[in-house]
Amino acid sequence: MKTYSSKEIPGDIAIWILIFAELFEFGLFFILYVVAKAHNPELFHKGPSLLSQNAGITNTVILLTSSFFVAKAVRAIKLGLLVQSRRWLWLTFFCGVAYCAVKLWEYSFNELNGIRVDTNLYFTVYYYLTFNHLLHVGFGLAGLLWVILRSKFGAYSAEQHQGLEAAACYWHMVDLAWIIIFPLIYVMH
Amino acid sequence: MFENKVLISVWLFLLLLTLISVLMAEQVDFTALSAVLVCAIVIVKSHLVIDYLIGLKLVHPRLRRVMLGYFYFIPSLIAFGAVRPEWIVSMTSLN
Repeated sequence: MKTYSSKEIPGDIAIWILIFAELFEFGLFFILYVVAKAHNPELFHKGPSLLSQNAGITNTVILLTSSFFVAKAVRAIKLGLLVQSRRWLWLTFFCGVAYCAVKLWEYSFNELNGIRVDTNLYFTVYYYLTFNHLLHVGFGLAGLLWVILRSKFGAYSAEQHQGLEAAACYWHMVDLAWIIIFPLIYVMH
Repeated sequence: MFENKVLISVWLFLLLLTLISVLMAEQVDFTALSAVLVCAIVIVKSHLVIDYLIGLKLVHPRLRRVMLGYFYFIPSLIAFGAVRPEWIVSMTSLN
């Protein structure tokens, strides 16, 4: 039988309400994707081959790595290693910035290849999903920066690190959403 | 130390699963079965992130169940849409 070490919520209840609200929103997009694909199999078959697969793969590696880094930051603060925790947070932040840079490059690559939001239904769904996700990465980055600054002023310790853990949970949500988006957009043709 | 090794193993395994998905995308004939396998990979990846990177495995079982429920339901729905698109079409058509 599994034994649970604690019934405490990681971060706080407010961040989990926000996470579930965001997942609900992404869920609607995923359902939209399934319906649109069923009605337009040809468009959704050809679409992925016109995108930069390398950009999708690179961003997947970046986000998975950033999730690992933020988990290390939480682990470090729980051990009272403040400087180490802040270093992991900075690494997470830089991964997020790299993700945005790759995504913006991808959008300009699409533009050069004549792919726009109104090219066809597949690309409308692609832009809705990925731009919405990009906005969430932006919110996550702002949260990380806030937590890094607070950490610099000694706001967190091994005993008190709710805010840091909340930002980490939000960042994991951003990664989890991408775990579904990546195969939808780039893999399932 | 043990926890550190677990985190590194999970991260490497997530990258490996991504690589498998990418290799499947390279297939000329991407069948409904391929779609189901890709969705299964999504479920495994989400499970790993929820249990080990967020760390819900031994904390707050109800929250973990809700999170896992979502990440089992959505990929299953996507897989269903790939296997039975005609059913989705009939359910979402007005005529």
